[in-house]
Amino acid sequence: MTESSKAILQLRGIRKRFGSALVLDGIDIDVHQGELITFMGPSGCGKTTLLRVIGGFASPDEGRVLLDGNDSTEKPPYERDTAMVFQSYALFPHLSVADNVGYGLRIRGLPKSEIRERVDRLLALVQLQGSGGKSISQLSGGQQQRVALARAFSLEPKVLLLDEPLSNLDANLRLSMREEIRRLQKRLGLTTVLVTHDQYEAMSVSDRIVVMNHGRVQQIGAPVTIYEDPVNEFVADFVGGVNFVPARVESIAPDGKASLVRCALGRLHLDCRGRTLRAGQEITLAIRPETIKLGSRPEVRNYVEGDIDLSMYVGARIEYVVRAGDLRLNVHVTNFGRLPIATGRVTLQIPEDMHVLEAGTLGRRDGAPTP
Amino acid sequence: MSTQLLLERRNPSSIANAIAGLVNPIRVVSVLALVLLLLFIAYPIGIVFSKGITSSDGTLTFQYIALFFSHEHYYRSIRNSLILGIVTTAILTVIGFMFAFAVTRGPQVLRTPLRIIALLPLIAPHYIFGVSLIILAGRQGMLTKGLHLEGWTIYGWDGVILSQVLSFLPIAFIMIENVLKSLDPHMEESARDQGAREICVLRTVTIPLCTPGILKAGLLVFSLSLADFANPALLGGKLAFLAPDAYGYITGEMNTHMGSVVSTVLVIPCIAIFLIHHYWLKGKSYTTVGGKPASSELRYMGAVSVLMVSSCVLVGLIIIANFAVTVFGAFTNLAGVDNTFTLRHMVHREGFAALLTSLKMSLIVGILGTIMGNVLAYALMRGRVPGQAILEFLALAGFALPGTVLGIGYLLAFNDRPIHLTNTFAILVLVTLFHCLAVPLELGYSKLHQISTEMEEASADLGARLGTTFRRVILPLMSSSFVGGFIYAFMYSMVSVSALILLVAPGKMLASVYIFQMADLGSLSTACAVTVYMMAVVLLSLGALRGFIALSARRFGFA
Repeated sequence: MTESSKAILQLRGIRKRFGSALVLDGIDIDVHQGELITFMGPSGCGKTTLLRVIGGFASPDEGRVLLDGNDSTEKPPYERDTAMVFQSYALFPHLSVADNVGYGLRIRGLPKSEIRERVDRLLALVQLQGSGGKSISQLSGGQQQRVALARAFSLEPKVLLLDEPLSNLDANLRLSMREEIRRLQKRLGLTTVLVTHDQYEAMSVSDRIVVMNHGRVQQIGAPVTIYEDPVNEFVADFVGGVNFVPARVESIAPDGKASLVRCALGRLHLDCRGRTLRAGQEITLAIRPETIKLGSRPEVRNYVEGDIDLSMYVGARIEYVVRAGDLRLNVHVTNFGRLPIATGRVTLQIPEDMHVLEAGTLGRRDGAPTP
Repeated sequence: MSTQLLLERRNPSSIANAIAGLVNPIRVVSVLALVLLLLFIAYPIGIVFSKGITSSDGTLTFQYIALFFSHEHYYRSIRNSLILGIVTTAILTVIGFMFAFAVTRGPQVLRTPLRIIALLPLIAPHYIFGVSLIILAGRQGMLTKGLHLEGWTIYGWDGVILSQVLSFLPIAFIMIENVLKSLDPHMEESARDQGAREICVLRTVTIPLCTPGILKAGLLVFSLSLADFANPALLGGKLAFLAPDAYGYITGEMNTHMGSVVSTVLVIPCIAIFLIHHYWLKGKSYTTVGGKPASSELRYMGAVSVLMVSSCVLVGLIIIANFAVTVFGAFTNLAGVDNTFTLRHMVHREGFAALLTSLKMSLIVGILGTIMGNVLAYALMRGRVPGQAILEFLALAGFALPGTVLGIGYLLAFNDRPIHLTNTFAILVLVTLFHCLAVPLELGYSKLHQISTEMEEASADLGARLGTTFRRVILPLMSSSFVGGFIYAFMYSMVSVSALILLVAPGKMLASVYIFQMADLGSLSTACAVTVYMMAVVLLSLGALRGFIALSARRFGFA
């Protein structure tokens, strides 16, 4: 079975301009049956516009939207098997909860008794049994979110579209709604496209993540791939934060598995992890803050000294900014319980299996210069 | 407590500080405003009420009211005015909605032109259609003769309704456009997403969500239609309406008692509507302020949208035709009868004098209205003042009062000592100022709502006193409300007629009144010529104001 044959939603060469701005610049994505895929990126990266193209609220200037193999590019929203949960929820304030959920069913002309039955079932699904008679303004933000979900489920869409669904909720509620959305999605086996700028939200619920910037797809992959093997500096930096250290390859071990590199931190051992490097090559080391060890002994490899510039106690871990050479390194230390906060001069151990990116794009994202 | 602390922290020897604490400027402003409003709104209206129920020798009597309701000759005007109000309102809520829909959701290319056309009637006196419709479809009208409609006449229901609909389109449009603009576009998208087609979205989502706003617009149009003097007077023919009747009793028959009874009958529904508007409908709205204005491009124009947009285009063409006829009439001997070009109407000494007086009065009312409205808004909003409810009611109610009634009130109240203002320029300024004060006040209110009190507190925290805070923080932030208030008060003063027609004196003729009188006398060409000048003056003034704003924005860094 080929990749595209099990894709329920295919985006082919989507391009869209708003005036002179190119918002979507040739997007190709296959969304598989039953998966939750997340479009992630900074604001203005085109993720919401892409979602609106899928939902039929915006038409692309170029490219095709194939839904279940059928070309839906020019189909209006009311003829598409997609259902959208809007960022503002867009619940109808003049209708009751039940009438909101049953809105689409009534338009389909279903008999009243069946609508009532299905609305009850949908409300039970989102744990709002017995709230059908309430008005929207009587509900809390989390409950409104559930109503919006139930309404979107009502027409049994082929693809569910969620536009920043958690951004209007407070922090605690956001975590529990995140879990609930994922649980419902898995239980219903519902193919879902989610849009968010929140990396934690994306990482925790997605089967796959599409990282976008400047209207282009930067990387598509499982959360672990995106985090562990980012393809460029933008992805590495956007997902989780990272220390970038420019370096130059000095020498390579005869088996090609390890190398020595020189950088502002001194001479470091680098595990090539199957990557072919050559001596003299300029590279960028991408070192995750939590992979750096604090308080190592001088005899270990990749030993570095530095001064604590700033320490922030955030509970689960302690975040340090360490000045080493003319670099500032972010170092995160997991708090196993009553961890003392380090001060003054410290020693660090840089991991050997750090990620390597091509050099020459440091400080630039997607080739676009940043001031 | 905190005030005391602040005072102590500053120079303790300063007596000025202590006095500033005692004589709260907000309190002073409020008391002054209350006195003025009682004198120039409550008192004249009270006189009108009392004239209707006192006999010539000053005793209480209900004979005039009884007389009024015992003869059809008197009370038929109530029925006619109500019918007119209902029909005009019904038509305008539909047309206003269509224009608002076309401008907010219709095709991009038509949005700006339709918006300009919908607002165009604002630059001329609102009864301009009374004049142009007579040229088009009066007894000697271009269309009447061209289409051989000799049996039909514009004088009567057709003419009054048509001219009112066109006159009040801007207000209905502005109000409904505001509602449609602030409606979360995701609502309609969500309905479409759920399978609703165009007409279904309109029926189940757009219109229900706009109903409170449409209702408010409808009520306002209804009270404007009821209070309208000029359109029914010009085009009513033999039909009797309340405002022209009240005017007729006062000026024609010198029957102040009957004029007062009719005025009272006219005021009651207007005040009732005002109360419903401001105290009952307030806050009833489904629209959100500050919602993310997503693009609401309609991807698929269905039959209903096409119908609505093309109806707007049709109405727009009618408006343009009327304005074109006005300009045509100004430059021809007698439009429709003798279409030869002439400039003789455009050279008109009385017209020029009236325009000059109008301009002078409008500038004064514009400036005073802006200052009073905004200062009062600030006082009412930020300070706790005695008689706040009465103050607010009087200031806002001025707008709800029919101009004719206010004019009659001024005529009766300031005709003699203690305050004798008859035949002065001041009375023209005062009646216009207090009639339109509500709008700058409301604009100030809504702007102040957006300015966080925290900004003022920050300024106070940094050591600024109330006066300094007002001057350095509030004024710059409120400049848009100042501009809006001035534009409204100025334009209103230029084109207003119903109160002023009772108060103009020889040598102090106003252009708006002059146009009406010329039209009423049948000198349509002169009416057109002065209207053309007036539109030019209004447009030039607005252009000058815009230039001034751009200039000051560049100099002071704010707009």
